[in-house]
Formats: sequence, structure tokens, C-alpha cells
Amino acid sequence: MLITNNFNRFFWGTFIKDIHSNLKVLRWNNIDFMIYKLDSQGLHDLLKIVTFNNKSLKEMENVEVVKYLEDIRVLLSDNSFTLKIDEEEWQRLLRSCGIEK
Amino acid sequence: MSSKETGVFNILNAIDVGNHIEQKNGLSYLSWAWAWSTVKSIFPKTTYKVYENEQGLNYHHDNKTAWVKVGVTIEDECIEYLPVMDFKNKSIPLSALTSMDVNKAIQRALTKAIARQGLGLYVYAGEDLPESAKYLNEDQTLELESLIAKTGTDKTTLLQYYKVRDLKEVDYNHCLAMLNKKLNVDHK
Repeated sequence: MLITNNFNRFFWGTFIKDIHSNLKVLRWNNIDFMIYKLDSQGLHDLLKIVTFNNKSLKEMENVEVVKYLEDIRVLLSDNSFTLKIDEEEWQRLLRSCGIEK
Repeated sequence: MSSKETGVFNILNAIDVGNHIEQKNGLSYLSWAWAWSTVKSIFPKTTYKVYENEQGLNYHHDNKTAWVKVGVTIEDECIEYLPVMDFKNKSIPLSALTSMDVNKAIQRALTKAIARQGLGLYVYAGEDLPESAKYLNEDQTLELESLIAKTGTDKTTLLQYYKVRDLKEVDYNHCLAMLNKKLNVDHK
């Protein structure tokens, strides 16, 4: 995948930053990872391992990147964690349906 | 150290081993079976090797006492030497050595070699519990609350700095030192 500035901003500045700042412990296969002990790159390395992804972002095809992000979302959901961007999108959908929260 | 090695170490070092520590004679031990299964589930290509001596025995000796040599390879190999010890952690004389003693030493050496790769290293550094599991008692919390008020520190910013949600989870000694320093500067 061609890594653009916009993608970098989204991936590191929004996606990874949200997990790094707001998720304390990530449970996978009954193993608890203390997220605050990792830096952003370490978190990315861990997420690649737990989603069985051994390619770098540059090596992945666009569809593989999307699958990687989706696998992380599922994993976060298993950990009762919702990304801010998903929460905001959900609120937007509710508002568009006339449901204010 | 390469970035790959750093990656392995950081990931293993971030694992909370608090629920898998066994206490024996006042010392903390990590279950070798759990340690091995954890490492294998994260890095499936991990291997270990028990080094034999020239006679093909699975321990080494100097005609007085014995030790075992175990290596664990993830990206690179970490080797651990461990004396064959009794339950008091004293070396067993070679004449009294049993295969069971050697087997136990091998399992302990395996766990320590895994710790060198990062998993539960803090157990061997004398830290029984990970930082996340250490909570301040009421007196410590009240002392910090008082200092926060005296120094006019913003509590939310302080919690964000320590990446915690509650004051009970901060590093007490560090926070106390910082607030006292701030208090002294303000007084001057």
C-alpha cells in the first residue's frame, strides 16, 4: 500500500493513539498485555502478532490493510473497547435517523 | 540490539504475569508451563535447547556441584545457567544429585531464559507484581491529594501524565518527589 501523509495521520495519530491512550490492558488468548508499557511502534508490532499479520503496512495491499484494521476492531470489541472514530460515526448515524443521545 | 529483538523484548515484557506467580519459601516463581505456552502462542517458532556436557549428560559439573545450561531462541538465543539446587536454594553436592533435581533445575532455567527474552523479567528483579497491580493505600492517596491541593496541580493533567485513571495507580515515590519539588519551588 502506498503510505500517504493522510493515512499516516489516520493510522498513527488517530487509530493507534486512541488505543494507546485509552486501553490499559489488551487480552488475547488469555494473555494480558499492559499497553502502557509499549510505545506506539510496540503496540503496532503487538497488533500485527495478535491479528496474525506478518507484513509491514507498505507490503500490504489496500484490502489487506482494511482487513488488518477490521481484525483490530474485532479484537478491541472483544476487550469491550470502542474506538472514538467508531463511536462518533455511531452518534452521527443516530442523529441522521433523528435519534438524539 | 536490533529493532526486531527490541520488539520481542518489549512485547513479552508488557505481559501481565501477576496471576501466574507461585510463592515458595518466600520467593516468587513463574510457572514454567505457563511461561512456555505463552511464548509459543505469541512466537510459535520459539525453540529451546538443553545443553549437554561432553559425556552426554543433561547437566554440567566441577566434581563438587552441578549446573544446567538452557537456551531459548526467539529472534536470538538467550542462554541461562542455573545451579542444581535444593528447596533451600543451596547447591546440591554432586554425590547427592538425582535426575529429579536436574529436571527441576532445567525447568527453572527454561523459565529464566524466557524471562531474559522479556516475559516476567520483573519477577526476577524483585518486583512481585506489575506496576498496574500496585495500588496506593488510603494514607498515601490522601498525602498526594493534599500536595496536589497545596501546589495547585491540575489532577486530570497529573493522571494523564502517569497514564492512569485513578490517583491510586500512580507511581507513589515519583509523584511524591515531583509534588514536593513543586511545593519547595513555589515556597521559594
